[in-house]
Amino acid sequence: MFKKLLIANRGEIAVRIVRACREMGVSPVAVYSSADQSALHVRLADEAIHIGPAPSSESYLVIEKIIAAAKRTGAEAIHPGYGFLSENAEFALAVESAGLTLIGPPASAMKIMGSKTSARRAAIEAGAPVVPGTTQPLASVEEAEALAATTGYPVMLKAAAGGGGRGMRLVRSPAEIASAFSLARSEAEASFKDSSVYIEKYIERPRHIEIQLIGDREGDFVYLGERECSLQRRHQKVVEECPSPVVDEEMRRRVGESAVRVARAAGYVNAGTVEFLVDREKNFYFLEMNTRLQVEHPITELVTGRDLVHEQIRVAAGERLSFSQDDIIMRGAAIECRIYAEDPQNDFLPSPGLIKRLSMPSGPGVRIDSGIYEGWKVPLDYDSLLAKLCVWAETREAAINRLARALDECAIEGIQTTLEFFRAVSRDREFRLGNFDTGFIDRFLADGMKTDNPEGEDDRDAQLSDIAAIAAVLHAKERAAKLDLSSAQAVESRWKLYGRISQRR
Amino acid sequence: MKYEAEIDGRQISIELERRDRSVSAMVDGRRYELEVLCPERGLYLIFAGERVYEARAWSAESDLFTVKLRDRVFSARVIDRKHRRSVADHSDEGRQQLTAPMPGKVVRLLREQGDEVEAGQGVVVVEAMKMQNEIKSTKAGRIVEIRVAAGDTVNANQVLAVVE
Repeated sequence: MFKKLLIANRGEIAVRIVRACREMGVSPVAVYSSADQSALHVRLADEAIHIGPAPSSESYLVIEKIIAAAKRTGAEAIHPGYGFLSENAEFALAVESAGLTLIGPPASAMKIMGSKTSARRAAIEAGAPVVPGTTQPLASVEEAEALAATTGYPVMLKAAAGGGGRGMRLVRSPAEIASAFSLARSEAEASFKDSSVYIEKYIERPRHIEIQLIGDREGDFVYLGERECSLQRRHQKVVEECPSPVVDEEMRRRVGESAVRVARAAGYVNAGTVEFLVDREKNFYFLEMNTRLQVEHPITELVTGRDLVHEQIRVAAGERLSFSQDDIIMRGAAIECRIYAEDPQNDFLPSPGLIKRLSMPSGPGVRIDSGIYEGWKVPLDYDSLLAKLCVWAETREAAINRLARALDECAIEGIQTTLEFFRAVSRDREFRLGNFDTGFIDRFLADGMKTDNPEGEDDRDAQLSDIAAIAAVLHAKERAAKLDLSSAQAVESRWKLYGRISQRR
Repeated sequence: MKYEAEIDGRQISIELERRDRSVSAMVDGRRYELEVLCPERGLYLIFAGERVYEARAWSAESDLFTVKLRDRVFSARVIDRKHRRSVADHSDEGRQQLTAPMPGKVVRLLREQGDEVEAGQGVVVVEAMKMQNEIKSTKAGRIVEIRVAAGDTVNANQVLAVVE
């Protein structure tokens, strides 16, 4: 086992990895930019190396600085977390050639999965179902038109290097394809410096599920069930759950085995996630593979009882998997909410700044993975994920009730967060029924986040609103008293000064 | 003392007297006799008979408050008659100030001083947390002033440009 491990990340995921290190007796080394010297992940580490100014392009994304920090502190391994350098094949090679161990897959597997077209080819070779479409970039509009005609409309044009919804265009009819093709190409060029675009059949109202798996260096793989990630806003996940309300035991086995075949074909090692689209007939199609630990990994840990980060570190150190496929039992249900520093009342605009007060929920079945604390100033240089609230309970319904309860215990003051939005989601009827697809959040927001009030709730609402108004007035009074006091002091001191000046005359 | 308040967009009038822990309030004609404790700063533990409410209040702007109560979050504006003043500070006729909706960094200017703009046209791009936001003019006119440059750090509500 490693004695020392460097964490090439920040925020809640760096804290998550520090915790695993502590539990395993490995000494954690943090890296930080100038904006993060007093960040939580630094506070919890044994050693901390400054790697540059706030912009991530000059700090967390600079391969040489990360490797140098590991060398300097004598760390034997590097955990990249998610984002930043975690799926960068060049970084994986640099770690290897520096004689260090990356907690993640080999560069070769990252490369295969890094491009959507080569990932599709790998999936097809492994016998996994893929969304009908091409595996090669489109050469011309004519080719796009011909292929769209054989696939059948509607189709999606997608950037080969894409991600996060950029370089994607939905085409519903032949009349739209020429302009969509050139738009997708220029967007792909602008976002990824690669204008390759390919075509896929568009799945109407799909669900998005993903299989968590992990493999050791001997080529053994275990899949740890699925996660339901259909609740997305602008193609970013916001709420995830495990297991999916639509996946049964038999489907789980089929999708899981399919995922393992894809990973094996790519020469994969360590933890990874294979994403699938599921249509309304429950057909599933390979979408992509994420070659890293996912943000939403805790819900799998809650349901399977396995610690993925511990297992990642053990596998990277050359140990065999500590469990087999038969050991994986899905127990109960877990849900994660990603608490972002964004204002749901204001088109989810970012809201960095000082956290004046913080109270986090606790009690049975609640897990918080957070990178913040009261008094921490959330920098404007990085993504807006503050913390993840996860809950576990015996059934999905109980988990949703627990989520609503935990959300009500939560308060983050000073900045705007998505907490309020989750409170509304957790009380939404369709969400509670498990009736949703990837378009749910957009429709929910278009409806003004309205939740259906149970009967008799209107009276209660009126009273709550009166009490809230009273609290606001009490607070306003207290603040005004404080302000009056300080302005009175200011006036008094001016009088004193004036008095002294007069005396001198 | 009498207050006018707006809670979640609804106008209400409140009369409130406080003597230590006991508070008498009249909200739109509904009377409340309450006992109020303040166990933490900004936290009001309100007893209405045997019902108990934990309300957390904090202020976003000078007279705008957020109140969290049970499963609800309210936004409230409190105008006390004594401190009442015109809110129309920067909305004088014909002049429009473009302000930053969030703290961030100015990425680039889309227009220059002296340019004519249409309503809805972007003037400045501000970035925070890897998200870019175009600050648009809400009316047609001429940009008489641009107060920021690319690379500047700006606060929420800071004036970026003036359109006339």
